[in-house]
Amino acid sequence: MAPGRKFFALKLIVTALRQEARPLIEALGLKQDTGSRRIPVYAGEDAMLVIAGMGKVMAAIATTHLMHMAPRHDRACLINVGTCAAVTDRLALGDAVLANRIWDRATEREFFPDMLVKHSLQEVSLGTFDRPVTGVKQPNLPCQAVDMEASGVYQAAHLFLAPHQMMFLKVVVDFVQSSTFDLSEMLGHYTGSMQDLLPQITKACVWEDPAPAVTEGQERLLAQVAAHMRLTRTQTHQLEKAAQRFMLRGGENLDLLQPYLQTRPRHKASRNRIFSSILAALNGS
Amino acid sequence: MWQKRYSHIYLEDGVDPYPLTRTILDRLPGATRVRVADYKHIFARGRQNFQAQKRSPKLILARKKDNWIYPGPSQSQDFGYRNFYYNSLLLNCIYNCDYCYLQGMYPSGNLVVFVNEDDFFSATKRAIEERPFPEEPLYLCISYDTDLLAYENVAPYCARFIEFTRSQEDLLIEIRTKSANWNALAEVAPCPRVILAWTLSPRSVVKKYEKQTPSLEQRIGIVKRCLDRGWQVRLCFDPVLRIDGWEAIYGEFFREVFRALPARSIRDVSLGLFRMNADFFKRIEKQRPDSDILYYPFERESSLISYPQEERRDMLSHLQEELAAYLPREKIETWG
Repeated sequence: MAPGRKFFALKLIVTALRQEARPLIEALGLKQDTGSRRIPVYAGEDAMLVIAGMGKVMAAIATTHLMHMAPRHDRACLINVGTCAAVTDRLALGDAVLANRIWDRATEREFFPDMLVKHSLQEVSLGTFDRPVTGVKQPNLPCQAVDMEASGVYQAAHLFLAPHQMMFLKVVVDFVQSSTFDLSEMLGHYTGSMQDLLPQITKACVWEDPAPAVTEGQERLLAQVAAHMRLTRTQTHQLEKAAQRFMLRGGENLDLLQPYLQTRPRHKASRNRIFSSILAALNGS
Repeated sequence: MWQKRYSHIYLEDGVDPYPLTRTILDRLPGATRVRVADYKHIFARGRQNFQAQKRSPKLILARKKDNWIYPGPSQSQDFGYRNFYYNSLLLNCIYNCDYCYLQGMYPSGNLVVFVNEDDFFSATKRAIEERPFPEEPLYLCISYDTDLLAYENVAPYCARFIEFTRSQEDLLIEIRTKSANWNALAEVAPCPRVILAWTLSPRSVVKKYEKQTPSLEQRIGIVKRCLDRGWQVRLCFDPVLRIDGWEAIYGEFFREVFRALPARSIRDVSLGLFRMNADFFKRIEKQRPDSDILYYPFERESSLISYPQEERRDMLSHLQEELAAYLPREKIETWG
């Protein structure tokens, strides 16, 4: 593919606990959105964060809420940040990991975020359980780490986003074989890993777009022409397509549409006639 | 910024015992391995972005559970063979040509390799026995919705199918490609029942619309070597694109090709204009705001979109005339 235009995707962050959210809120300079009272949402210039509460149901509800609050989805990247327990001794306390597979223990379903962006973290298969997993002596699980939210976040986010727009970042704070349940110790591991997590969050949100044929100014012109001419939705869509084709085929600009900003057809038949002539001009016929 | 190609290999449950799995894993030792219960859980997910995934495509190893061979569709190139079949050893292609219908056909930009090769061979044997016209061979396209030769270094399917074809007297296979992967063929003895078919395009088309593919020179180079070794070679001038100055560009292109290659040694030529299933086209249009060839004012005829009829007639007659200067007309198969 031809290199496109780089841009920063809007970060949509889902955390379970307030303590997990705090270092992110501080680092990203987020302020609480007082409009969202039941589900705490924090927002800044290029990021929004929701505190879901524990469990995959709460996670799914909060993710959906955040998606509805997000101004646009095509340029957004959803990041589930939180804690997990390791199943394997190849992971150590404080390790930041990235999930390449999410396995829902209750439904046995599996989900796969796309792994497109380079990173320096360990990758794991992450199992989502409905309750804390502890005291498992010889764990024989098809995953290397467990949490309680990821599958809920994935399923809700997937209603709005493509799999390459999702990332699941977890910090190992515990082991399923021998949990201490010492929250302050766990959170110590979590906050201690922030220096590994934060650069990854930023890196994952620098994307490229294919260079669009029509500029933002030309998009505005098309919208004005459509409004002046009182085009139907279908006609507006046809006009946009024709303009895109025109520019891709080497058109220098859309100045040929300027005269139509002064045109106000009096009835449908006249509008349709003028519209056909615009399309013919753009299509070069 | 992007992970390298095939940074991850997804292994479907049950693929481990197949020798091809081992071969592929040995050839991509640095890849991260991820387990998947069924390959469709990753390949057929909803809302995937084909073009985003093409920036760092992943490899999925799977078993094909049925449909190891399909009858050829009626609108496709059968070259007069009535027992026309194709198979899908791979889903998707390592290239990403702007005009490619796979962008609209598959939900994912990732590549699937089916590793249960013996099932494909058994199904082919059955199809040979049961072919409707026993007086003709079974004509099987094994690189139909993909480019098998281009991926030979990872999944050596071409060499294996060529050896299989050698043992089947009533089988004729076509391997269509844009690849210049000579190493894949260097050690393989030519087989008269294997047609190596190269898609060739003018230099400017390769550069602009066939990104990441071998150059025209490289393709001509491998065709030459294959002809010298005695392979059956087909040239595919398909799809021909209606670009500015197409008459002169394609005229010069044919001259260049037949200056470099002896026309009499070419088995046949396929000539086709750009055309595509309308549903695939609709899907592609949404994902490719960057390619001018997809924004031509096309005409839709039943389920296909292509250039308006008059332009098609004009292009085909012009190109046929040009080609007739190098090859007898009966060697030119035309589509579009």
